[in-house]
Formats: sequence, C-alpha cells, structure tokens
Amino acid sequence: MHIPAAFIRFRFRQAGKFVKEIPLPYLVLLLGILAAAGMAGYSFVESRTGGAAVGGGMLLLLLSIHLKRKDFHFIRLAEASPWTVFCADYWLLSCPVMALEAVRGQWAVALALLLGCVGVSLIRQPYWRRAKGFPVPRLIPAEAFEVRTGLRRDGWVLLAFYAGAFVGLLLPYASFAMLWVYTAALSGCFRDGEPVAVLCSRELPAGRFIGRKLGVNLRLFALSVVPVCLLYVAIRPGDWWLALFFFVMAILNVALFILMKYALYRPGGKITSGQISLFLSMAGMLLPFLAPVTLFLLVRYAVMARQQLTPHLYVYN
Amino acid sequence: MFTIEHLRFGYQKGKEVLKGLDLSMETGKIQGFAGLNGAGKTTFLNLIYHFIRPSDGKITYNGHPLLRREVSYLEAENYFYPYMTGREYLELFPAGGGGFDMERWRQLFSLPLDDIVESYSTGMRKKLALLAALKPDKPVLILDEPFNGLDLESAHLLTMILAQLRTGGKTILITSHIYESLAGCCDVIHYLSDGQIARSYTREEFPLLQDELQSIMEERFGGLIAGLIPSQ
Repeated sequence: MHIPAAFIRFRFRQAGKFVKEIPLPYLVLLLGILAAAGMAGYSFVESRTGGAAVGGGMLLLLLSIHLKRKDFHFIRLAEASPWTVFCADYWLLSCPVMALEAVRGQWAVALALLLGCVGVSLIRQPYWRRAKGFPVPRLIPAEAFEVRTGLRRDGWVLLAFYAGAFVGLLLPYASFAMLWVYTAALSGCFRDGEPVAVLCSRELPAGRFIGRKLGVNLRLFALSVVPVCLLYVAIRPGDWWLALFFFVMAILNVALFILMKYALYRPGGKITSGQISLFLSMAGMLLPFLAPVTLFLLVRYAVMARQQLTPHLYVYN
Repeated sequence: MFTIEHLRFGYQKGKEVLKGLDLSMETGKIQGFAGLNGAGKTTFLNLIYHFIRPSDGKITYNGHPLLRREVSYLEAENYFYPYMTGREYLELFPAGGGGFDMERWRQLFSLPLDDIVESYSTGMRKKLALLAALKPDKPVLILDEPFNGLDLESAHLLTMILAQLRTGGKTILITSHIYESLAGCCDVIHYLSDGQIARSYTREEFPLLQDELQSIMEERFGGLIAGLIPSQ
C-alpha cells in the first residue's frame, strides 16, 4: 500500500488551520466537552460490550462520512489512489478511539476498527451521481425543500436514527440519545444556500421570509419528534420534564440551523463556518448548563440573517 | 414605453461601469443587448431587476417605476439546490395568471423532471432555469445569455418561444455573446460600449451592426493573431 504522505500533511495543515480559527472561549468549551467525552469513553470501554459499542459507533460515523465524500475526482486528479487516501483519513480520525480501546486492553476491538477503516475505504465511490435517491413523501411541502433534499440524500441514515428513537423507548434515555443524533443529522439539510431566484420566488421581505421558513420547517420537525416524546412520557410519566426540555431544545436547535443558513447565506454556496457554534448549541441538548449558549446564538443569528437577506429582498419591503 | 434615464453604477468608487445610460424602448418587443466582455450588460440587467441599486438614474415601465414583481430574470449562470428534482425546483415558483402546464413544458423540452438536477446536462439545467423564469408569467422577461449550453434544436425552440411571448405582449431583454443568436430573435439590438448605449440597430440595420463588429474585431485583434500564429 502506497502511503499518501502529501495528503496526510495536508490534513494536518487543515486541522491546524481549523483549530487556529476557533475563538479562545469556544476552544476552551470545546476542549472541556471533548475531555468529558474522553473520560466517559474511557470508563465505557472497560467492558467488552462497551468497547464494541464505541468501536461500532466510530465505524458507523466513518461510514456516513465516506458515503458523503465528493473528493474522489479531486484525489484522482492529484494522481493519488483514492482508497489509500480514504484509509489514511479514517485511521487518523479513529486514532483516539483506537488508543482508548488499546489502553483499556480491548485489543480485538482496536484491531477490528483498524481493519474496519480499510473495509470502509474500499466501498466503491463516487455515489453522488444518483438520479433518484431516497423516496420522499409528498406530504412534505415543496417549500420545505431543504428537508426534501436532505431526506433524498441521507434518507436511510435519518430513518435509521428515527426508528432507533422508537426502539430506544425500551431503555431509559436511549430515545433522547437517538433523537439527538437525528437532530444533529438534520443540520446537514441546512448547509446549502439556495439560488437567489428561489429566495425571491415568494416575494416576501426578509423578516417575513425568515418567519415563514421557520414556521414550515419547525412544524415538520415537531410533527416527527412529538410522537416519540409522548410515548416516552406515557412509558415513564415521571420524566415528563426531561421530554419537555429535550423537545424545546431540539426545536430551538433546528431554528438555529435555519437562522444560521441565512445568516451566512451565499447564493448557491455551501456554509462551512459556524460549526463550533452549532456543536456547542447541540451540546446544550445534553448539558443543560449550555442552554443559554443556544439562546444567545439564536438571537445573534436571527439579527444576522435579517441583515444578510435584506440586500436581496429589500424590494419587497 | 420602457425608459431608462441617466443610469449610473460602479462597483468601485471612481470606476463606473454604467456612465449615465439613457435608453427608451418600446414594450412588447424583443430587445437585444450586445457588447464586449465587461461592457456592463449583466450589470445593466442586474440594475433593472433591482439586484443592485444604481447610484443615479431611474427606470420606468409604462409610466411608473419598474417593480421587481413585474420582472422575471434568467441569470447567465444557473445553479440549483443539491439533490433537488426539476419538478421540485419548478414547484417553488408560483404560476402566473396565465397558468403553467408543467407536463406540456416537460414534453416540449424533454426534461426528466423527477430526476435530481445534478444528473442534468448543462443544456437541461439551462432549460429548467428558463422554465422557472417563464412560470410566473411576468410582463418583463430578462434573459442573460439564454442560448449558452443549448443544443441546436433547443436554441431554435427558444427562438420560437420568444417570438410567441412577444406576440403575447411580453417585453423581453436579452443578451448574448453570439451575434447570430441575437439577430435571429431580436427586434432591436443595442450595442453597449464604455458604459453607454453606443447605438441601437433595428432589424433592417442588423447587417450594418455585423459589418461594424467585424471591423472592430479586425482592428483590435487582426494584427495580434497574424503575429501569434505563423503561416505555413
């Protein structure tokens, strides 16, 4: 196997640039959350089952990354072998988990993860030239095109997480963990800026446009999450406050995805910044002391979204 | 009448793209705009659509300031939301008073509307964007380089559609880098140069425009090309 040294150096430079661009307070918070996750992981992988669960989760994450990659042609243009680059990327990403497994004596899981990375890398690319994609139900209105297109792209993954939320009703808190992943996966639907022609098609001023967008998408999201929350409360009535908190935080986070899309709007462009803010806000669903961060970001991005859209929609004021 | 008075605009201070452009156009006609790269054709169209605000001047349509609600705009470069089907894209645009028979348009343009747009060719994307511009049935239609990427058959079809729209009373503003495309469909061609309309040519004067363009090109590039490519 040829080692793609140039790509590995490039990944380190990318990682360095990413870290340098994070504002210090966010970096401290991020490190705190990562340290907490590391400690939780350390105690979790003590048992073989825990180790296998963490390893399996990591492999699933790598698989979802692999299925969404679009750099196959770029790597070919750089005259490198795509699967070796993929493999090196996945080894780098799963390094901390493999180290954790090895330190706790889970050698078999660490080895399986190592081989799993090779397996994932060998899955045929590219995927994105599909003509149909996941079937989207007609009940989702055309106006919610972000959800429609997101479902078409990641439908099976979203469906698996959503079904997992129902299966998780059998265990305490498991449903919320799956709903958290489901909500996080939904953020991917709001990462692309639509063309100006679509933005202007409803002929609404910026404020009303944002209001309508929030209304349509939050209604859809609430319709999908409410059944899980209600069933959870029916099974465990004592935890009604937890279901309510989770539901409210999930709604606020989806609102944040939408506001962020328009706050950082570029016609036809992909939104690449704001990932740390999103991560912190999503962490607020699991760590209640971070909830004020979500509220602060909501207000900040609402103001920014209005300002960003006004030059395109001012004629409808 | 469609009147543009003293239109000024610059992307940078002191560097004006349009320098007090004046133009009076008859409505219900196809008005072509020609000019070299950077002459300001797209800027001019963006100003008419209110994408950008002029530093001076006004645009009036039938005696009142032109509203964006009266205009449909097909941009030169068309991009689409990832994983969206052609049908979903068209459903985002409300149909105008004249209605919009999506099935008949689909047949006319041979578009696979239920496939995602990423699987479309350049020409198919252009046709989809054109349908989206036609659907709202606005009285003014701006088409920036509509012939780009179209095959011979589709380009001819577009010329026929434009003629039909003119019959229906629409005012169409169109740009193209290809003289033949403009000459094939326009009633008037306006030549933009140095931020102004240098001259407007009626159908009878089109051969004159072609001769003038030919001589401009010969003067500009003839000697350079002769020096660049050695004769055998």
